[in-house]
Parts: sequence; structure tokens; C-alpha cells
Amino acid sequence: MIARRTLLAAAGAATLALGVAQASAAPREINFWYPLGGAIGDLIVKMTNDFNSSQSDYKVVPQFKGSYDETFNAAVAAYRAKKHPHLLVGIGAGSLNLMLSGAIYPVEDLLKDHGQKVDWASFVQPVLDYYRTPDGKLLSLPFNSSTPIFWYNKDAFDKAGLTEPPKTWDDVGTYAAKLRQAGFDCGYTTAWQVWVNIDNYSFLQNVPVASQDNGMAGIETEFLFNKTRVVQHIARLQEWGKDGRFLYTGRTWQGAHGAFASGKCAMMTESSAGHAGIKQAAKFNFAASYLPHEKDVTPKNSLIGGGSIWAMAGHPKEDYAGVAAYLSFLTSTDRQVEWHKGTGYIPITKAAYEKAKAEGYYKENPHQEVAILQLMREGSTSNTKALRLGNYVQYVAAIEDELENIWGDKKTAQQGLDDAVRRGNEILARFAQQNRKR
Amino acid sequence: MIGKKVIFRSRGLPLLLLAPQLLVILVFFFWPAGQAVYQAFHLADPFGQHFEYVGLDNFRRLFNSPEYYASLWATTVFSAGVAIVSLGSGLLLAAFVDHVRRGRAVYKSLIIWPYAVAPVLAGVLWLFLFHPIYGVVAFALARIGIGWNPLLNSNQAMALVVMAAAWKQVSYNFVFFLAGLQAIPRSVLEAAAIDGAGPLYRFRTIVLPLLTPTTFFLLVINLVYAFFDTFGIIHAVTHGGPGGATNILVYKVFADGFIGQDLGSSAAQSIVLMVIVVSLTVLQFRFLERKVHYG
Repeated sequence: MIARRTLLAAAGAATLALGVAQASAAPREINFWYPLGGAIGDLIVKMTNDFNSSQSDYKVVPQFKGSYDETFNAAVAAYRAKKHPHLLVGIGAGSLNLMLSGAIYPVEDLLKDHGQKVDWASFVQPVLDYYRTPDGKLLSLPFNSSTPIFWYNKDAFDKAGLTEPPKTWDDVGTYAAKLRQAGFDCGYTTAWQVWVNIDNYSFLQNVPVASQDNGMAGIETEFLFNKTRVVQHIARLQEWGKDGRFLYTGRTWQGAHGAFASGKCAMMTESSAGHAGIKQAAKFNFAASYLPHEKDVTPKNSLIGGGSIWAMAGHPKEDYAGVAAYLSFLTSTDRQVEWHKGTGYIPITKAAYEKAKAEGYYKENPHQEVAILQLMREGSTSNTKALRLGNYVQYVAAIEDELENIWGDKKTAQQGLDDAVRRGNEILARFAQQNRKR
Repeated sequence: MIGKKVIFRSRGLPLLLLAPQLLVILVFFFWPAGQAVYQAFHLADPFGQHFEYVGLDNFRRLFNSPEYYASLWATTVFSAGVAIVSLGSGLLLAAFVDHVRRGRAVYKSLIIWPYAVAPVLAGVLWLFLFHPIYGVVAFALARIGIGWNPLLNSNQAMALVVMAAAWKQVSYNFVFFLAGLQAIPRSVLEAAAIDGAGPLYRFRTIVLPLLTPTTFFLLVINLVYAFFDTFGIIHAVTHGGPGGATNILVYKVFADGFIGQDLGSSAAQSIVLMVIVVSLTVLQFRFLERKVHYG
């Protein structure tokens, strides 16, 4: 009991001392919330510590807040209570809600207002465009950008007598059948089914996902993917599902990773940022290649995923100088190379890409370059520039629902996608109604 | 029985004594409930910067949506399933433990344990056992040739969440049933035994009727549990899938409001849900309670 009391007293004294110390030295605290745990989160903490020890005016406090949705919702709740962080990593696909929220400080303004000179021309442009307003202002800083690529189990390919990665979706079907014959449970699975098999499929095939140039030209949008080749693609996957050429392993990525890393499925479409996780879990040789396409098209660039850093409005002016310094620090070439290598996210500046290339990084990790080259393919069209729609979390849930109805053979591909579009359009209309008057 | 009546001289003291409780109810029930009613008639953006009065639009939208009726049906199946499984196994276990001589305390403790597990954790636990890709039990099922895939098969998904939700509630039911069983006078049972009634006959004609107050109470509690407290389990196990097959009303409130940030619709849904549960409870008291013997 005495020990406990002493401890309490000591704790009290320590808190007091800390308070006094803060009052005197007082580096300004900058809060940074993000949804990236594990090794990636550790790297954020490490880079932040480097920043903190490089100067004494500001102290950035990094905080892992759970999934993308959880982090966003925590920030929303905090904003309403006026306790929100300075910086927030938001999912790229959900950008429109933040763009129109009135709760953000555009990073381009923020950096300019505080004298940080950033050479935007040196950035990888498709990545930057994704976060720009129609009149060209950059609203948030691309940070953890990725794109889906095609991962395959090389040992399994050897066993089935396959030497090259598949180029077209027809190849994927043929390969899957051969892998089945060679004794594998499933041919192909996918993480992030909507992002890969609807969004990115549409991009590569140069067909629209939604009206208004995929939402880039205005907020009165409608989904169009029930009227394009996506229908045949989904119908084909449904067909493959019946004999094990395709296996549905759940939403997000954990199921697909499990199925791939355990050797159950020999082919998987998943983010380039899945690299660290796959490397850790897979006990076989694996490789990655470009996303497959239809045999009659020359594939276009793929769609970005991942997230970006948003600065939230409403903090004291002095804090933002620190925020600007920190963001500028993160975009430096050395930091970008470190981040790229440590996470599998693509570098956001050309300088960082050139540097990694010069160091021979892509010789050892060719799949990392696949993602960059696939994103930077020439000849982007209004169908393949970006995808910007409101209420992302809600509409994706509705589409996933209907895809599950298709995989479970409760609906045909056409019925399921029609229902997905009907439900999705209601959600988009609601967003437009909410934001029309601004 | 004559009620006790305490007479206060002034009005101040009783009000003062009631104040803390009233304050708690006001702050934690009436205030949020009032907010829900307000929001149900508005369209709001998540950041709370834009409010628009939309009248009954949120409700109209709900009742025009096939998914909402699907959710209603899923809720019916789910809560009936949870009530039957958890009441049934609670009673069975209680009857067994009531007969056990040795180690009763051990059995009791073991059976009560799951109640201490938070719903989300219970869900994660069951998911780890039954996930088609990395679940241990799923692996065993595949070995013996049972096609188990709750990611695609809605009936299996429903069975899984019912099991997970019921498992957690069995402990609670067990405690009440055991207490109920032990309150049944031994003399009545012995008299029946002497008259030649077998154990099953005694159970059906004496024990069950005398347990009706407990059963009725537990039925109400279990339904309220299934309706309100299970979204954590659903969130951890199925996220309402596949294709909305396990998207029960309370999970839909949670998913649309707290994940999707559609506060207006979520508020409208919670009002509908409250009306449903209140009327269910009233119905139970009016019609089922007549069959209850309070001994």
C-alpha cells in the first residue's frame, strides 16, 4: 500500500515536472493520424522522429488510428468536438468528401503560405492529378500511393508447366485450369475486388466507371459499369468460381493474402503495397507482373489507390509553419526513397524513382517498377485520369454486397451489377444533394 | 401486500434524491434520443457543417429500399435463432449442472466465462475458428469433405453469427435457469417421483411450468440482446455479408451511421428499430405473459 502511494506521488510529481518543462521549452505539438499499422506504421514513426530531432520548434506526434474508415471517422468526430489532428491520412478514393468538407487547408496553399518551396513539376503527375481540383490546385499531399498488380506463385507455375505471367484475362482462365490440374485448389483470387475488378479493369480497358469523366467534371454523377465490358468480366469470374478457377476470399485484403501465401491460390491481384506482407508470409518464389487485359485492347494506365495526407483547418496559425516544414521534409528525395523501399508504395517524385533505379533497386525488386510503369503508361484518357466520387465508403459497401450476390450465384452478373449501380446511384445522388448548394 | 409509503414533508428532498438518476437518464437517453429524432429529418454532412431539412425523406428512402426489407428479414431469422439456441442450450446446461454432485462450482465457472468476453472479441474468436481461408475448424471441415464457406454461403454465414452471438449469451441464460431450477421445491418433485412420474415427465409437467417466469424474462432479455448488442459480432465476423445476408437492423444502423457517415438515414433507422423493439416487448407482455405462472 505504501509502495502504491509513493508511486502515485512520484507520478504526480513527474506530471508536474513535465508540465513545467513543456511550459518553458514548449515545442509546438502537431498531431498526425494515419491508418497504417505494422511495419509501415513503424517507418512513419521513425521518419517522424528524424524530423523531430532535426529541429526544436515542433514536435510531430504520430498516431495509428486503425483502418482507413476508423481513422477518418475518428477525425470527423474529433473535428466536431474541435479536437481534430493537424494532419490526417485519408483513403484516396474517399477524397471528394474531404475536398468538399470545408474542414481542410489545401496543402498547396499551406506550403506556399509558409514559404516552403516545393517543385510540383518534379512529382509523378498522374499521382498528383488525382488530388487536384479541376482548376489545378493540389488539395492534399500524395503519400502512400499504390496500384494493383498481378502477383503469382512461381513454384506453382513451374509445377503446372507455365513459364510466363499471363497477359490477357483469357490467359488467366487457361492458366487457372492448368493450375487446377496440377493440384492447386484455386487458380486466381483478388484483394480489393471493387478497386481491381471494376475500377482498374475499366481503366485498363478504357471504359468509364461513372459519368462526368469518372466524376472529375462535376458532382452530379452516375455509375456506368453495368453497361460496359465490366459485365462480361464479372460474368466470366462468376463462371470461373464454379470450378475453382476463381475463389472469392472476402473484402479488403486479408483473405486473399492468406489464400496466396498459403499456396492455395497461385495467382492474385493485389496492391503493389502488399509486397512487405507477401514477402513475410510466402514460403515460395513469387513474382509480379502487369494487370491482365482483354486481348483486343492495348491497356491504358491503371488507377491509383492508397491515400494522401490532408491538413485539417482550424488550428493556430503558428502550428501550420511546422506542418509545412514536416510535409516538405516528407517529400525530400531521400525520404521518398526510404519510404518506397520500406513499404512498396510508389515514389511520388521522379527524382526518387530515378534514385532508386540508379541504386539498382528494381533489378532486385522488378515488381516495384511494374507498379510505376503501369501507372505512368502514355495516352491517358478521360476514362483513365482518375476516379472521384462522393460517399466512397457507402457506395463501395453496396457494390461489394452485390458482387457477393454474384459470386454466391444468387444473381447473374448483369442483375447484380444493375443492382449495384441502382444502389450506388442513390448514394451518389445523396452526396450531390448535400453539396450542390456550395 | 400493503405497499410501504414514505411521506416527505416538502417536495424539495424527494426531487433532490431523484435528481442524479433523472440527470443520467436525461443526458444519456433523452438528449441523444432527441438528437436522433432531429437528425432523422435532416441530411447532414459528416463534418457537421451543412444541415438540410428533408422532412420524411430519410424514412421514405428506407421503406422504398429492398435492402431494408432484406435486413428486417435477416433480423427476424437472426434474433429467433439466437433466442432459441441460447435459451435451449442455457436450459440444457443448467439442467445438467443441477444434477451434478461433484465439481459443480467448476462447471458453473466454466460455463459463465464466455459472458465476460466482449462481443467483438467473441466474434473474432469464432472467425479465427471458422474463416474459410485460415480457420482451424474450417480446415478440419474441408478435410472431412464439408464445403464450408460463409464468405459466399449466406446460410452458413447466418449460422456462424447466430452461434457466435448465442454462445456469448448462453452463460447469462444458464445462471438464471440454474437459479430457477434450484428454486423449485424438492418436495414437489419427490412427491411426483413417489407417484411414479419419470424424470422426463417430471421435467415437462413440473419443472418447465415453474420455470416460465425465468424463461419469459430471459426471452425478453435475449431478444433485446439480439436486436441491440450484437453489432460487434457481426462487424467482426461477416460485416453484414455475404450480399447483406447478415446485415441485421442494428448493424445497418452502425454501418450506415458510423462507418458510412450517413447520419440522417442511420438516425431514421434507429427510430424505426426502437419502435419495433418497444412494440415487440409490449406484445410479449400482453400475450406471452398470460402463460406465465408466477408460483
